[in-house]
Amino acid sequence: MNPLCSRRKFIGGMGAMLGSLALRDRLLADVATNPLAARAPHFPTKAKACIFLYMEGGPSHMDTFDPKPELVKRHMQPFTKDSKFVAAMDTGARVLVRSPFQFRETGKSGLWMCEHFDQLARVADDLCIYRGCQVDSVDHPTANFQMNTGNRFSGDAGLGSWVSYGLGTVNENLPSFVVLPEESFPQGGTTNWSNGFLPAAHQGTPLRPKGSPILDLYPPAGTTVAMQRANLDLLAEMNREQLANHPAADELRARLDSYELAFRMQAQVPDLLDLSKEDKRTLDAYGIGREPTDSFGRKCLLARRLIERGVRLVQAWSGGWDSHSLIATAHAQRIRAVDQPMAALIADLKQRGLLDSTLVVWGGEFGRSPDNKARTKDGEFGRDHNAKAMNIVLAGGGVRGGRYVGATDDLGEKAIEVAHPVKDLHVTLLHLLGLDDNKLTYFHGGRFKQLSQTGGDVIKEIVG
Amino acid sequence: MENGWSLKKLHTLIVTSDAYGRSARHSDLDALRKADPNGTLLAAFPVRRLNAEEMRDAMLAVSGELNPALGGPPVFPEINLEAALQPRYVMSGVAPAYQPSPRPEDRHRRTLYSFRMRGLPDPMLEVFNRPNADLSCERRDSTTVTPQVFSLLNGVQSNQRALALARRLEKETAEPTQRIARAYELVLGRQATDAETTRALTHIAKLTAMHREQPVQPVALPKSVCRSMVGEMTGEVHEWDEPLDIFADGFVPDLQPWDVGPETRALADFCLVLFNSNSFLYLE
Repeated sequence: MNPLCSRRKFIGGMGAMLGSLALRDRLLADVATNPLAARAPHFPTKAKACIFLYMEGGPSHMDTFDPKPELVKRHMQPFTKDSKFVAAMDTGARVLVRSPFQFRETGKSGLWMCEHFDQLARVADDLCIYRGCQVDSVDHPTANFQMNTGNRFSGDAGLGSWVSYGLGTVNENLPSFVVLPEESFPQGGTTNWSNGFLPAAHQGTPLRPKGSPILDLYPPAGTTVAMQRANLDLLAEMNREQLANHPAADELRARLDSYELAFRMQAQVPDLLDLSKEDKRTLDAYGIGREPTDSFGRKCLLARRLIERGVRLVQAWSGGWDSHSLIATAHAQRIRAVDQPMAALIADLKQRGLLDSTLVVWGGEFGRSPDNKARTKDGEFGRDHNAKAMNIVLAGGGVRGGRYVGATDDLGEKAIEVAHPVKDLHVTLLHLLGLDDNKLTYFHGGRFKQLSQTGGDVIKEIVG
Repeated sequence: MENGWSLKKLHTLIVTSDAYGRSARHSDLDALRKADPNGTLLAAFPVRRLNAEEMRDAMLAVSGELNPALGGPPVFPEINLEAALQPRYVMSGVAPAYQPSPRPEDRHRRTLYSFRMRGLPDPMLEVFNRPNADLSCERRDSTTVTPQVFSLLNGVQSNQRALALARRLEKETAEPTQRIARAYELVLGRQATDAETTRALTHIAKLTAMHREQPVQPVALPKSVCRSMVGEMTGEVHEWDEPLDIFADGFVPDLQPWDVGPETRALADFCLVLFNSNSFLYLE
């Protein structure tokens, strides 16, 4: 192969979209040169897409899905950690603290949920609560990087980038990996959805909730659509003349086409983001138009619309879960902000027959500790970071619901059953999407890299 | 070896060689289409896109704004304003906004000298495949992705450079035909044909008329930015204003569309088209 001719030079990213049948045919004809061409999974599977509901800050498992009666009994009793790596802040005397919330069993399966998960209880029998996940870091940025890219150091490719790389997209009008961030980007910024060393076409595309959804989507002040059209017509003429001198340069042709695609996209994106065309019942169901659910409700509904249009992985962020104190108000508020949107999403996907083919994941970068600083006043306590115990909730995508996988110890300090490092969760998520982590590799830096870094195991109990 | 294994001498030899200096355009296109339709035989040098930094530096060079100074502390060029003001969480708060260097001559240094933040890459450079700052990169990717179009057609860098180039053309030449000739010379490194000149003049006339119909209102730089975050203690969203001291005081803006008349804006449109053309972006 001629090393000077890049094999990855075709339109990608927001890519080859809309009309342009000739272009589309050419792209599909040559899967090897189009980074976003739809690809068969490594093995047949139910899940075709994934929606990752990312709770930034570290949601507390023992205040959401993993009640600990033992903490009620031992409330305010002294507590010593056995390792400084278990939690972030290790100074001073510590006491165990109970959850400020009431718990009850929900659904036919009787899954335990905190009282503030009012709506999610309706879809309890679709949820699989995995209690065995463990990570390696108790600091937000490194833990975020690990949960999102498999590597505690920033710069590797995100889960969505790997899925995009593995499966391509079935809708070339849209990117295959879309991120719905909070107004504030998370710690570590855009590196949380970076394509890393994978081709740029697999980069997560954030649709920003305020301002221009995509940077530079619209012409600058003083330039009208008509002016831009005139400029593009001249540009196309010039580029076509130049192309005649380079019959073999597909890249030049791809650039020519990408301008037309971009021009149409300027009109298409606002339409995609315009939720006003959804009926009122749907908007109400997602909690759109009222607090505290409006923001996350919009993300969940948009996630469904994106998945329907063929996007492979949508990551919807909810910030503010880092409750070091006053967990009673802070977590209650956060739970109420995501409860109804998440429940509506699962119910909506199910009703549309999309839940089987869409894997929904809920989780954050780590769990929280059973203890707090001793000097915190009773009633104002919160919880520390905890790398060794957390809950991940899965729904749809072929995962059997209404059950737990794994368990944490009596205090919620550590996962003790079906405990797996986060790389095994990644391998499992890829597996559910029909991808084999050991086959999904990319040569970079002198070796074949993979999401699990060095290989991992499918968590059989989740898949089974 | 005779030159003491000097790599510099070797590089000089290579880049001054006849082979290196050859055009990527084949002299006999019909023969090329027949003999090497896929470019695998290297009958002509494959075209190469400028990399992200080269692209920005080249625009600065032709607009006449480039400050060629060497070394020194890093500078802060203008980046997409929404990205610059994008709130980003850091430990217990939100990172301060990205504010560009106040003086144009600092902002117009080569891209090599711009400050790199891992959590806030310049979106224009990122979208043109500049590798992230975290990993070593043995070879850059040069994928064509649609956000590149948005960046180069609508973005702050290309638009400001196009306007500065238009102003330069007006200063250096007396009449419209000369402007087109000079633009081709500067941006594409060649003479414009008569047909190209006529086409460009027609385009500029058309755009001038459009710009006359569409006066442009000045857009003020923000003096502060509203921040919001979900409180760790409360779970509630709270908001505050972050002052932007550089924008508020001392920032000398580049030439803006509202500083010039419709004729200059139309000429800038033509310059923007040149910056977006494959002839500018690819080495032939």
